[in-house]
Amino acid sequence: MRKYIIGRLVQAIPLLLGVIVINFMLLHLAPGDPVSFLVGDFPAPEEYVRELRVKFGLDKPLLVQLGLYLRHVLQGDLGFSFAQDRAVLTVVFERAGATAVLSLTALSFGTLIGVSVGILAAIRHRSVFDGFATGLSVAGFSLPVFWLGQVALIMFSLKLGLFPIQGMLSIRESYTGLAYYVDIAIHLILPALVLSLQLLAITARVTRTSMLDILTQEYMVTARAKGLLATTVILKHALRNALIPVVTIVGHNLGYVLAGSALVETVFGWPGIGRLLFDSLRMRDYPVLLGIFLVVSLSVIVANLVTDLLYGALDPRIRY
Amino acid sequence: MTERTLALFDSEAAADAGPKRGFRLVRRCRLDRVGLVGAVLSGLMCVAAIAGPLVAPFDPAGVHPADRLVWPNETYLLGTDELGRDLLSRVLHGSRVSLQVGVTSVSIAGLVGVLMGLAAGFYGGVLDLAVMRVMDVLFAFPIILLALALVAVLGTDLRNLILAITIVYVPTFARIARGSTLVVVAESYIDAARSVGASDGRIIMKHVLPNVGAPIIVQFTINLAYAILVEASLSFLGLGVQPPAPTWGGMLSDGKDYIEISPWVSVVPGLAIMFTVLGLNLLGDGMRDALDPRLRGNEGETTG
Repeated sequence: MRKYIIGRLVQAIPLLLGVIVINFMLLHLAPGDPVSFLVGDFPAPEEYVRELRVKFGLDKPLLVQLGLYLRHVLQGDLGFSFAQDRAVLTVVFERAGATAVLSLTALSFGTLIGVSVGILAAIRHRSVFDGFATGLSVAGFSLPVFWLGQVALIMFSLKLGLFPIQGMLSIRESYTGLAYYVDIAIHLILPALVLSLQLLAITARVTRTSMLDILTQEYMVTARAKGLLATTVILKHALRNALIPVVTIVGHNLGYVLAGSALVETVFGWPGIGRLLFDSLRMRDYPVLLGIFLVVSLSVIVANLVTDLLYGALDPRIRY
Repeated sequence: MTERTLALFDSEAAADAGPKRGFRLVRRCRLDRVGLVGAVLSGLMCVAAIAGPLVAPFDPAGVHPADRLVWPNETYLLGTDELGRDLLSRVLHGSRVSLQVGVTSVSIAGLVGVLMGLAAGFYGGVLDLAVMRVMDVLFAFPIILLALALVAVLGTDLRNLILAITIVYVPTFARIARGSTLVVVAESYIDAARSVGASDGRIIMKHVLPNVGAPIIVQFTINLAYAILVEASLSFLGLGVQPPAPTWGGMLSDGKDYIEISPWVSVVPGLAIMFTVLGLNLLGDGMRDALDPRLRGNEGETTG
């Protein structure tokens, strides 16, 4: 087991470096040199431009430039945003909280609803509900998340008035204490549900297949023959085993949730990284754009790593 | 297992049949009902993209200031947008843009990815290691995010959009091709071919490629669905094909501001995207069931 953990950690290092190298390549792919790309249309002072040239070592060979870039990134220096007049890392981390709340809620919604739908579909195999679950999974794969967000806004916020229309907090009132969190929660429900749909679809599909597989195993027959209650058999014997592949699915889909949040946040005016991404695109604030790109990619790699380690711990049959 | 081996021999025979190979694949591909629905939807999309612009009642960029945000009626079958442009004409023209970007980028990605995967799987060793590590890094990024960063950095135009979508889909093809190649290379008929003195190139093209074809065609269909979704997402964010060219994502983005008073402006392109992606997805699933002999046996169990 320890060997597996160490092996997996070592594997992640070239991947992390690779992501940073791609970020570096993106900087160089841009028309002009990286400095003119980073400064863009902003009236940057002459000495700042000179400072950037030294920092990137533009007169040095490409490999040295890459080394310099790596060092800065590892030191947490992702550049400076002239549009915001602040360090990129500060700007990104400021928004990370809102995105974390939205993504984690969407992950929970997607997992809970997806697993429940999957179990019910497997138990009632080939029933009307099973058909509904299949339809839901297919829809989850095909619907553009930003369109779904718009339609949900029209139906639930504008027509029915059930949820607030934009943002994370009410603009008119400023709540404190518990009411503050309730306010966030009310704003959170609709965007989180929309964001969770794709994950929900995948989770339901995987849970269903995995449950169907396990329901035919011999130990299930034994459990039933012992006269155990149907719910005990399902929850204790089947679900525990059926959930193992679901863990992988949820962990590996964090990336999709984070990428999807860029679109969902734009539709719902949620003040997270996705919204920041959209704004920096409009402002041509490239340092922030590349900063977001790097931070999100690194989080996805770490999430995948944690998932794989968890998977190894959950399933005693897995020995690498 | 026997079924699988038989199928491999079957396609091996098909490979030797020369020009008939394509037909054999089509005949083997007997779609189930869901797959047929997918085929019909995908077919409609192709017809719309090819014939749509010819039959569209209006110029997609034609502005009719007097008829802004009109409900669907007999003149404007699907209504008009905020500039009085006919939505039906715009959706029809938009299908051509979506299909053009999707098919071009996924085809190039397929070609590059499959060649890399074939080479990596066939030769193994350092080449395999190098190619697949690069693919792993590309795979680590969420697809939309990587495409978005590429377009933002390269600049927004049609060529860069296609290039970005191509790059993000190369790894899936490379992985599938490599995986299938590894299975095929272990088969005895490859040894047989080698022992009669066939060159590497001949073995790859004549014996490996036809046998890894099925999963690649399935992957192509499914990637096409998502490539169209990526294109729509980028256009929605203003990074795709630039206005006034009609794109489904761009139309959704325009409709966003009028959602309260004229929801159909958003609903029409949204449905177009949904049915296209749905159709290609169902077609891909149907083809997978029909082409993959391993799934055929327990079809009833897993797909219900």
